[in-house]
Amino acid sequence: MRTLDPQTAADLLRTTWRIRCFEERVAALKRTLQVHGLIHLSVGGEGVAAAVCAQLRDEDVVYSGHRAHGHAIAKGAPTERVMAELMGRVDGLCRGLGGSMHLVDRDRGFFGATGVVGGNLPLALGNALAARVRAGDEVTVVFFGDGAVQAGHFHESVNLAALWRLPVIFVCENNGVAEFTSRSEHTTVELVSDVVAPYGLQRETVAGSDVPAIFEAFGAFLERARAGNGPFLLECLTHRRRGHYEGDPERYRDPVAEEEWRRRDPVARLQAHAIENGWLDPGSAGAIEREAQAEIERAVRFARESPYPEPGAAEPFVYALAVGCPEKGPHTGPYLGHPSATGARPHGGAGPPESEVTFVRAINDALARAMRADERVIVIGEDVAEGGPYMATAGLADEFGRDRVLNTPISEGAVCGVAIGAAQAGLRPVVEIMFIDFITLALDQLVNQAAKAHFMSGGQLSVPMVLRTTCGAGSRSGAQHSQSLEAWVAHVPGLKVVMPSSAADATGLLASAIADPNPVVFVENRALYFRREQLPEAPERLQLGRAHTLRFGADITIVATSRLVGDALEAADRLAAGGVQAEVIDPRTLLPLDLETIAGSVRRTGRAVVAHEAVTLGGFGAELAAQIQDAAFDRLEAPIQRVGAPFTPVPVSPPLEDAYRPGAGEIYAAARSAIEWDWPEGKEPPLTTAGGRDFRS
Amino acid sequence: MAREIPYIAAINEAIHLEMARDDTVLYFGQNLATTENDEFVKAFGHDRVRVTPISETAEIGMAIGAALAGYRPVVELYMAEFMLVAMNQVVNEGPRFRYMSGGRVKVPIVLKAGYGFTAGWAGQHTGSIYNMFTGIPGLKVALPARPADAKGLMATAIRDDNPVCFFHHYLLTLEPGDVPEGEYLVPFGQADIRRSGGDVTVVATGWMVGKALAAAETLASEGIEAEVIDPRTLNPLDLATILTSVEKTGRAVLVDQATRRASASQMIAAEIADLGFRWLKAPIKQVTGLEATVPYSEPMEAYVLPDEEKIAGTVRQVLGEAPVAA
Repeated sequence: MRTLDPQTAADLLRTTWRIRCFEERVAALKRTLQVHGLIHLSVGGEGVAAAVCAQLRDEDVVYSGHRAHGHAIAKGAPTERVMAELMGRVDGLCRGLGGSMHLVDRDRGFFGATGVVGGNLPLALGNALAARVRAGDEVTVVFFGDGAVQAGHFHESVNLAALWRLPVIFVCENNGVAEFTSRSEHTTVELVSDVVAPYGLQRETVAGSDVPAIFEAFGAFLERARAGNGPFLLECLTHRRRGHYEGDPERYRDPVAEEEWRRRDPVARLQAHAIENGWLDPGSAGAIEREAQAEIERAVRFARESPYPEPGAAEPFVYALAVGCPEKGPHTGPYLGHPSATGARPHGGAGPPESEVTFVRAINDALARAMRADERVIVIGEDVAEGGPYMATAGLADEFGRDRVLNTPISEGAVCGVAIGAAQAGLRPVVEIMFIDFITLALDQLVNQAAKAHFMSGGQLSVPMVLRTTCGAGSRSGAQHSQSLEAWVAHVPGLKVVMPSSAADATGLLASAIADPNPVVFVENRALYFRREQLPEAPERLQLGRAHTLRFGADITIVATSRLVGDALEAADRLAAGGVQAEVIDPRTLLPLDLETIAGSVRRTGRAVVAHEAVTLGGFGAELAAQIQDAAFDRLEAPIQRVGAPFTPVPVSPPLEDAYRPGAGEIYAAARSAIEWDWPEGKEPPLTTAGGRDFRS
Repeated sequence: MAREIPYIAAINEAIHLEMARDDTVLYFGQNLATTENDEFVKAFGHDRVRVTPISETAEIGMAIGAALAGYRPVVELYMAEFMLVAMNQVVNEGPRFRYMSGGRVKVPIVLKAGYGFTAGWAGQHTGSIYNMFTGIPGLKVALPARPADAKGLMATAIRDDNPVCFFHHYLLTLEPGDVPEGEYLVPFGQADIRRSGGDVTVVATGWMVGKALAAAETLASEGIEAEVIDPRTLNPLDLATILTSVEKTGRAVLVDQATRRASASQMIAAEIADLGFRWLKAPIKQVTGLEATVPYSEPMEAYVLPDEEKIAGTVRQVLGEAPVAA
């Protein structure tokens, strides 16, 4: 076992002083508003950061929580770049996009902090999983506080780490207070090591002020984790010397305990220990402190001299750009037709060899192809190794093994987090959440972690993952297994959202989604799963963000998504019988949205219907309608009609559900109203001067 | 009698009055009542005022259970974005019971959360995600923009028999305003015309209402009279007031702190585009947060947020007095 030697002790003392000086300087800067925002300082916890991170390599990844400055510095992040980040400057670690709570230094293996307590615990598991898939010996460490232990994702993560025996070391800084609430008010279990006991983790509790003890205990775990064992819990009993955040009135403080803790200061104890053992003389110990202070002053100067970023510099970081998968121009490959499309098939005759498959089989084939082509692709989810209830992942475990096709517990949050962590570590996970209703359990992961990581890290991290899920009513499954919640994810910058309406589209879009460097939510309507269609044996990839015009017509534009595309074509047939030629467009991806195609069509037809299965109020149709009216206002001859479900949960009784679900009849009726709509008698179309437009010319 | 108190005091006053009025009103959440000096604890005791661990799922779930058992819990959730941790309870449990039980039970809970703290709170504490709750059948959403509304909407939320998301804006916390004393209720689904004008209808929520009013002052000096409407609740939404105004003005500008795609603002735009089509003289334009996570650095943060100048500029645009952007 590795024990503390004189040189290491001096190094640790240096790190603790650097963190201490940094944090105290930040407190002063915050008082004078030279750093802004929400600042959480780690004074009192320096010893843990130093003793843990000193033993890690750059390739060993560390995740941390909102109190992360010390962890980042101990892992090697340059203090001047951390300081510049806190001052919101362009030379900050994350170019000023992340700030105190979201520090990332990818090159030093510091993969980031989170403002959601315990929110990135599962990401650490994903990183460890990636190390295992790559057969590397890297170890992942995640820091968290005792407050995180009461959150569900902690238990989901510990369970999953234990189940998969991942080489993760959970390092808990148990300071006895969750934000502003003392331990006695938030749990009956004093030690976190007792909480994890039933999961079978190797665990140890040490004093957070005893740096040699932390060093030894962590070193022992690290050696075993390096050999592929895990998980472990190292619990350090620490004290948070400052408030939850800078400015916290700290009404919960006990002055007597404070005095006692001051005597147990980790930096002072380590220094005394080193001097007592004759490793350092008081003079050189003092020099270490002075050097640290000088370094932090240099960091402050560096940060002050660094300019603020250009305001517009933020936007390019919302999405990662594709590397190694060049974006194609307009889709020119062989047309992959919609099964019921009739009007727009641009090629006929002898095409490539085709076979008849179901939608769900096409998904299965696309997954298998992606896994064959790229060994970074893994599939994670409940029951996926057995194929899942719809056999979307059938056969994958047989072909690719259970290291790449992983069954999970019913822990949607952790499972999504694992995928995010694995993606940040370079894999391309496809995670399955059986029903979109259940993304409610993973929404924090999807919105706060996956969608924001690339942006908040200033482009250092990317999250090339796909979350496959299903939506839609019609199977008498009731209000918690039938929703269409895609508008939620379409609201979140950083996510992409795909909703295929045919097997061919699903195949081509899933391939692109897996190759995309951003998190993609891929929503499949279960009502389409067993429709059969002809599919080429080697389908083309379809670019995200390109709408598909399935039928051309000059009188009205119908924009429909997912299941409603087929219904739109059916309605178009009926309209044609009445002499109305409808153009039918499937956006295929909601984010990015191909407004050009949609608005271009409406500018020609002057009338539009938008149709989806989600509720009309708050559904994505509002987005389409709002964008269309803006882009095609001067050509609109009637109000844009929206077809969607009524504003109720999905009913389970067959006649009620059938009435609830919009379809071809509703689209047809909406199109007829748009066609028949006219200005009320005696009321002229209002003229306008806006942009000098020639209204309804 | 009205007197001036801060927004946050108005919210607390409403909760306090409702708790005094009705024994079934409970109040719990993280970091709440951590000292015996807490005014709620002193008045109502620890049985009705409880601190919880960082366990959003259990907090909201417990509130739903208590509501089903006849109580009216108010849950303090701090940050709207933390509700994402517990979205299953918020969406699949709370608002479903009444419907799924055929109206036999009700879930009168208030989920109180702050949002929009754009003061360097960076990517995970600043989101304006109320639209995610607006499109959920069974949920109601209140967004008070001034102290009196904060008080009146909170009181109404507590008395409502349905789950209500009450989103207060963090940057308004200390904003003073006239607030009536004693019982004061602001009905849901009733927009507030904060300023009358005949040239353009400006619909704004929360913190944006003040910015819209400031922009309206600037515009007035140029001879443009903007009508500023605060819907106060997004669900139910008072479309009648908005449409009546659009009938008069023929032009609408919507202001929303949230990012635009699939936002509440788009929802309102779609409704106006549909029901108010015949009166519109120009496309409905929006002033919203840019499509990005809120950045930490101050100049970038300001850049992605709507402000008075952007609002005034957009109004000039729909009036044809500025070039219309593509």
